[in-house]
Amino acid sequence: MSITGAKDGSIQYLTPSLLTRYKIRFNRFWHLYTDSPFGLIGIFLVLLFVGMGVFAPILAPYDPNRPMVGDRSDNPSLSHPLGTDRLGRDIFSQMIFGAQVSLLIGLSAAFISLVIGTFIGLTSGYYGGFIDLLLMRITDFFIQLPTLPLMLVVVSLFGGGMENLILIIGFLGWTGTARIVRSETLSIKQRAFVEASKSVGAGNRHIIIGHILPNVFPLIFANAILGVVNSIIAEAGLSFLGFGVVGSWSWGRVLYEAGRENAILLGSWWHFIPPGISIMLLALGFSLISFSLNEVLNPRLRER
Amino acid sequence: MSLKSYIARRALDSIFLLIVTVVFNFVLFRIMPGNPALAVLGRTGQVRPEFREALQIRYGTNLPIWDQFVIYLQRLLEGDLGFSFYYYPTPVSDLIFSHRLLNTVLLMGISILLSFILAIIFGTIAASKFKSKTDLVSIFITLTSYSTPVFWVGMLIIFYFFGQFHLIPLSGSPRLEDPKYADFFAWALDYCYHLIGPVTTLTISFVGAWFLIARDQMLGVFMEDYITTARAKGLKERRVLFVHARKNAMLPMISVLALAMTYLVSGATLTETVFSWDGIGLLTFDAVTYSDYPLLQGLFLLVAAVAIFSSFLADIIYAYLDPRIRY
Amino acid sequence: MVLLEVKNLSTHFFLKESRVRAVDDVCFTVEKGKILGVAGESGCGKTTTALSIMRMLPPAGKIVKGEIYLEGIDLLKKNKEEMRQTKWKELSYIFQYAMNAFNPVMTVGEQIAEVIIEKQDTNSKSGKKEAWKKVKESFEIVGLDPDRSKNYPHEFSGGMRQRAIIAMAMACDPKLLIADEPVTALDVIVEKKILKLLREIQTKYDLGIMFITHDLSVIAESCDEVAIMYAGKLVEVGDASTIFHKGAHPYTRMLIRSFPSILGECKRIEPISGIPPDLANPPLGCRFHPRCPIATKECKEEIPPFEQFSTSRHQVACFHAGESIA
Ligand SMILES: Nc1ncnc2c1ncn2[C@@H]1O[C@H](COP(=O)(O)OP(=O)(O)OP(=O)(O)O)[C@@H](O)[C@H]1O
Ligand SMILES: [Mg+2]
Repeated sequence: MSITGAKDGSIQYLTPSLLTRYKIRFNRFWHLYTDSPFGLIGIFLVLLFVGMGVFAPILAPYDPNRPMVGDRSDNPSLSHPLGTDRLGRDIFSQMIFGAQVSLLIGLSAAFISLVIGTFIGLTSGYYGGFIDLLLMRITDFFIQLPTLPLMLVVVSLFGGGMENLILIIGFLGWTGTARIVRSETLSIKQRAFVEASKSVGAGNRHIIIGHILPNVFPLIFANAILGVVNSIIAEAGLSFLGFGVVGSWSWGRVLYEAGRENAILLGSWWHFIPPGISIMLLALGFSLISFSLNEVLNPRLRER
Repeated sequence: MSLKSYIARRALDSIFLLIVTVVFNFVLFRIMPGNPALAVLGRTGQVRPEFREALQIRYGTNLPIWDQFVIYLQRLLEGDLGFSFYYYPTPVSDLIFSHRLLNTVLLMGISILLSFILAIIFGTIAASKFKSKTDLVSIFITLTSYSTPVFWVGMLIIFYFFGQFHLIPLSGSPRLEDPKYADFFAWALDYCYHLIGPVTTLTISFVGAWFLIARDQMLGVFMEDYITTARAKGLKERRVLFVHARKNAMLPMISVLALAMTYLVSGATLTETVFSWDGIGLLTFDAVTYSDYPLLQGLFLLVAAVAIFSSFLADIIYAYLDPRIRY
Repeated sequence: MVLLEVKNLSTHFFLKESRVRAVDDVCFTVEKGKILGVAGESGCGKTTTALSIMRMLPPAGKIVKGEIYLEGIDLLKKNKEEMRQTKWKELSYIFQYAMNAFNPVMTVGEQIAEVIIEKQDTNSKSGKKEAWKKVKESFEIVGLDPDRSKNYPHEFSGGMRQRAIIAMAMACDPKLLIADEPVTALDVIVEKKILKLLREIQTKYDLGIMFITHDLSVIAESCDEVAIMYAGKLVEVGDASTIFHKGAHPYTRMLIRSFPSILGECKRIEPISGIPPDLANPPLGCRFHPRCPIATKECKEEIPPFEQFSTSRHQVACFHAGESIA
């Protein structure tokens, strides 16, 4: 470390204390977060599937798209743990690769919803008045519309495919976030420090980005994770109806194929039980994380 | 603001939203490449000449967009939603307002009612045993049900209860017109029998979504000072719970119910598909699959209108119950 | 005549890893037609004492010992239903932070009428009319326009709400009123008015009041007797004038000194140094000894008994009662 001046010196001096402060804050958070076992189970489940997705090319014994003519509609065996479909493709490999698509779509769609919802919620809550009224009426309307049929309609208009699916799920999933961000913004806006920075002459953008956003962020985050759950479920539904991704494998698409092959009536449980359980466990993982975060971060709940 | 003027304002809002919806409905189905008629013509390739002509007359596809909108509005006001492409020449209104709507309303109505009651009961129990084992276990179960795709629940139910235990029929929705039913009661019995699978599926999914809301509301209300005061007043516990607590806890649940009102007509596409339940959800799926735009438009309009109306109704009930709303 | 007698009351909170001794071996009485002021620093167990009398402790709180007699009948021996019937008829309560005591979705009048109806013997239509008549009367008594009884709570100002709360507390002609910091949330002028109102009502209806506050000046103004609490223990009880002029416990004296101009004198304000102890781990001996300027070895080892001091109604728990604290 070279001593170049008082300014640098003070920064050097400050860094560790800031770090410890964050450490203390994190420890306190972690203590609350692990109050019930839910949060840890959630992290475990999510990490499990992230690992599965990341290492899919290594873990999967076959190319999920390669038909093996000799092994059509096989029962589970050592070489095909979950059997093969009617084209002779390895279902176990499809399952492994499914983690990639479900995670990718779940996370990116939730991110889009997060951005839109935050933008609308902040605008509405901060400016109030007519803008608020208009935006909230629109939000209410979107909340009221049944999501899946709406997604179906839009998919049928613009076509499926990975990017479209992400955009559509993302663009139709922002309503909850918008509502929460708005009400949080409203309550924070009342607080004195925003008033104070306003009187000094800080611009709107500065107030929103510098003061309101950092305060609403924790709650937005907990909500965004619930958005991941919704997106994963939505993708599964669309894929199951045959409007999902083509080319790559998602668990919803495996279920779609299972449906087409009448797996339920034929009793080939290995074709539809594992993908369903995977969706359930991954979504449950995110749900548990979101629930635990909410317990810690939601100011309304914290009072208890 | 008095209740009356509040209602008037919300009514104006709703009418405004309805107009926006109609315009949106018109525009949405015209922003895709080409217009609806051409889209269908391009896709099916072989078109009967009378069909093409009907399309031109019906939509005025050769006219400017503004005139098309006027035509659309006129028809709409006459209650004419046009003809279905796929079921041509059946009018869209005949397709929607038929046994399908009845099937969906029955299926959704029963499921929603059942789920709502269950969610409130479980929510109240969990809240009154806050942080106990009962509470944690019920949270875990409902989070699991929230995280499970509804159609997969349906598949499991068919697999086990039809496939393994033979407790329920495979699928379908019996029609009264079917000659195999001797009388109304024979039909009704079989109908209920067929309802078991889809109703169970939907109830599992709805309770998963509503339990936490109900629990949260109850928790919130239990902690309110006025509940403590009501207890201190030595009122009967029944009065504390059902007059003081329920009134407040029910308020947010009204929004939940209003939302559910929309499902009442929109149906549940996934569940109806899995159980081949011939309702609006399945009709929507068909309409999407076959790019039946007039049918989609009609469905969208119906759902949107019900959505607007039920949210209007919910706000009025809300304002009636909570005097603070009428600022 | 003794209205309320609390004998050796101990109330503890049982938490996951600790037991908070919020109230420990407390004895005091409230006379009929008198106001007992209970004072002490925040967290010393005032509210817990009051809630024990109402038998309305939060789930973690348990009364581990003691008797509470209201007109000679032990409240702790009553079952739930008997206790429910006692509440508000004989014993009413104004909660700390009472601003939200009214249910927002019912009118103020309704909420007063419902308890009158509940406590009436008859349940007929005339009972309802009778109840509303009483609601209007009680509104008049507390200086509110009777027509406002049809209003919702959010339409009232803070001071009006406080008056309405008093009206509600008086609705069933109770014998004892427990008021937990009823004026802390109000501004000074409204506070004075409410205090005056309480005093008027108290003399008019010969009511016994247990008045909790941490503001000694309020007690000086309106109470007949004073009880001083420290860390879950009662340290001194006596007539208001005795306590303020001849307070014998070092804590009492230091508390009085830490308030400005209670006696109208312009003395230097001396805040008490140190903080109250953690009630999960209270100090051995006298709980005040770590902060006490005259503590001796005895104070650190033995719990001082609560004994009669100068007059018959003056009791102190201190080995060095009356000694100068310089
Ligand atoms: N629900 C609870 N669980 C655990 N401990 C509690 C609970 N309520 C109160 N306590 C503890 O009991 C002690 C006495 O609290 P109490 O509310 O009676 O104090 P108080 O004298 O009324 O204070 P204040 O003047 O702030 O109202 C405190 O140390 C507090 O931490
Ligand atoms: Mg208190």
